Amino acid sequence: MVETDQNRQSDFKSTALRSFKVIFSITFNQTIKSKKTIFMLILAFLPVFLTLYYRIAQPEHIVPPHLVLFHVMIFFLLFVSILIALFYGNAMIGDEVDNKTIIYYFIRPVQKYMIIIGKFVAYLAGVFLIIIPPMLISFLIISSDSQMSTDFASTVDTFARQLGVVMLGLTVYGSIFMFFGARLKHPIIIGLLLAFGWEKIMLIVPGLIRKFSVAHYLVSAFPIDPSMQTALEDVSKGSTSSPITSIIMIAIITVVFLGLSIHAMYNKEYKFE
Amino acid sequence: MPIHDLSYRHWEGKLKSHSFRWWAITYENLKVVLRRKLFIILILVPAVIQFFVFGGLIYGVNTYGFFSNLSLITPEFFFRFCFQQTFFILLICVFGGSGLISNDLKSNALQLYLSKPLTRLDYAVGKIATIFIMLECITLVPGILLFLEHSVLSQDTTFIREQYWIIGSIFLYSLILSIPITFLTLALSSITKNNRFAAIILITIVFGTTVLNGMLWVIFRARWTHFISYWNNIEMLGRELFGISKSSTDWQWATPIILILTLVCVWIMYRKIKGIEIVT
Amino acid sequence: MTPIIESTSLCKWYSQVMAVNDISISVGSGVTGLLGPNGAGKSTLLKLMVGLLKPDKGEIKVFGERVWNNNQINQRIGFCPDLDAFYETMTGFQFVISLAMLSGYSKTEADERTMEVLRTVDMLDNKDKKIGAYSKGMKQRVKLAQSLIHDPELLLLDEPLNGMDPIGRHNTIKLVEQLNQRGKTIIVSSHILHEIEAMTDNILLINNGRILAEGNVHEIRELIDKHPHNVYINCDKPRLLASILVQYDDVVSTNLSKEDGGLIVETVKPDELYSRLPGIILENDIKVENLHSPDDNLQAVFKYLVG
Repeated sequence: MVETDQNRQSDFKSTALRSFKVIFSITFNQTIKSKKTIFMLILAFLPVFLTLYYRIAQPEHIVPPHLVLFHVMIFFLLFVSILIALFYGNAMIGDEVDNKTIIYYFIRPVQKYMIIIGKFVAYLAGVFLIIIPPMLISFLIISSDSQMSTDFASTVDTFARQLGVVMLGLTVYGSIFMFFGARLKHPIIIGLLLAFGWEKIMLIVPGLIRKFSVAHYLVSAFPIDPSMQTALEDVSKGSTSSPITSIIMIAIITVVFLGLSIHAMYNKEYKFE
Repeated sequence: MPIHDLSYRHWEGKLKSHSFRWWAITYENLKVVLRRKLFIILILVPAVIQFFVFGGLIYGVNTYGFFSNLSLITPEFFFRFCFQQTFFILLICVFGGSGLISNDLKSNALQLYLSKPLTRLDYAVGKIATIFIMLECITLVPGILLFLEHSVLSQDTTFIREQYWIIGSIFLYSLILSIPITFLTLALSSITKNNRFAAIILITIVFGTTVLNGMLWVIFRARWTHFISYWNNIEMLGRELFGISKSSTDWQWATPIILILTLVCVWIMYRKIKGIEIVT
Repeated sequence: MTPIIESTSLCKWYSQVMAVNDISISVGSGVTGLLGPNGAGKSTLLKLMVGLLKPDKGEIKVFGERVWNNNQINQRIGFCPDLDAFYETMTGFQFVISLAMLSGYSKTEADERTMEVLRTVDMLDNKDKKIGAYSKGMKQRVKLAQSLIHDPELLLLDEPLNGMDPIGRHNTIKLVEQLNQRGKTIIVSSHILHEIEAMTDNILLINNGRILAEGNVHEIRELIDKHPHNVYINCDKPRLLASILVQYDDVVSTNLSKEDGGLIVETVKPDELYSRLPGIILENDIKVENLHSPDDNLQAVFKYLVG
């Protein structure tokens, strides 16, 4: 009896794993092979061209390199990653519904939660591939400048943690926009209002209301050189939370929205008109 | 004869001239967009509220003494109103414009349209007019109404005599606000079958160039960085039109930039609006 | 025998439109034709059967289990949707094998099964082309392939012959027959009568979301009393035959066909007419060349019930 239960459990795990792999593979290939990814790569590589220009065309820097590095990383954090998350996060379920291909998942013996998990992991793999190279290249271009006064090892350490926060940003925004794509009729417009309306406003308002935005936690968790504190205050006015609290909150928000996406998938009827 | 002909009858009445065939496309598209409650609630209503706020200010200035000392109703006031509508202009283009051609491409409706006695120009004009009408409704119309409100509520005719040219500026600026972004939206809509993608690229170009401008300014502290931002260029043109320009030469750079962008978009639309796509 | 599909007071509405209206049916094994005009509710009913839609009222069970949010039952059901929905950048092979693996097969098994099923639907030559470059008929065949890949017990085919050429249609109809012989339960929906007629005599006739009739075509026809049966008799003495037949109470009318002079007899009791006809023919030395009932068919049933 125990053996039969164990066999059942192992059958379930192997089927679940196989479903996950297939969903991941289909989604990842659709993401990477899509022509739209070329546009996203151009967007992600814009800061690379900018930093190259900064290094090559302007040897007498008006602005010190560590400030440039800060602004480039903030650009990745508060603009590029949000835009990428908005597009791909929405597309995970939204595109499948628009193209009516989601029907093929529903008529297969696949658990609906596995559709969300498989697609989300594929989304993460895809967007990390898009954002990590340009961030790394931008960092290397700027940090190799002779005018970079800080210790290279600590710069690398800061960059690695900044990269981590950007990846967290992609994760949390991805989960939110995935929920929008799964649940809402007009996910792009709501996503836009959230990403470039609410989130931007919350960075400049004081008080507790800031804690109702993801951008607040991302900026709070974003490690910076102490000399960049003033520059950070230009981006985000008002108080910040502690990095540990911010990371926990980001994790909670991600899990909550993934849960909501799964709930939407189980309860929403997708009517293909 | 006692038994009438019950077979198919040709229309013997007058057909509308070719000049207005595009109106059928515009009318139907407007009906579809305006039917969406989300569009009305999230976009149109806030745009109208803004008009009432400015209208209220004009009323306050003309009615209550403590306001009138502030010299609020200047050309800049009207410029500010028009320019502050840009957020709603972007939302209208994203929500109501990004799918205009891409949805037709997706459902192969373009072939249907062009199989009727409609030219590509009729189709394009129909789509352009859809966005243009919506944008003018939140720029030109309220702008003119605000001008008229202040004109009729003023104690004397000083405003009309000295600032009559503002109405021309409102008219021209509403065109500058509407035309380039209309063509940009439709060009992006024509290059993809996915209206979501068209919306994202539009946001990236319009909003992203402003963010990029901010970053470039901080890094390079160079004047040329301001010309990267789409809205900065539009703002420069507006300031020049309303006589409140910060620099006398800015508009000379902004004009060709916006013009080139518009022409590129027109060219893209021309290339993409075709009845048949040859698939190799 | 336990029905494969059973519904009780099943209702489904879209805003104010009642797509499925109080349907209580019981579908057993074999091939069943789901027949109705456009907008009758066929696709909605099939989607309810496969669990893509949730009933607003009533219930529907397949293999004795509820289908909504019951993904495990999909192992036993194959669905060919009417929608034209594909990953256009995938090849036909990649598409079908991915869905095979989603059904639980290992890569090797999925590979073998995909080749086999693509051979069955005659898509082996085009398997490596992108789906975006397929014709409508090819896409339809790929859709059919994905519904067969996991060898389901129940097949729900929504307008499977749409877009297919005559050879494709013929082959698909043959395939349905073969699958039936292998013990599969198949529900085929269509608004084209002769397609259904070619596959089965067992129908579910639906219109405006309601089931109008259920069962064998001929049995249903018999029950439609208010429309007398037409029997066509081509003979050498049609007027004589007409004068004899018109004396019987069950014969409602007789007409001579303008095209070939044949006799069309309208009767409310066709069986009685058939049993008395041989005697009349022999007594009066009438040579009969052709005898058939032009409206003992699906078209007549459809016309009389749907209007």
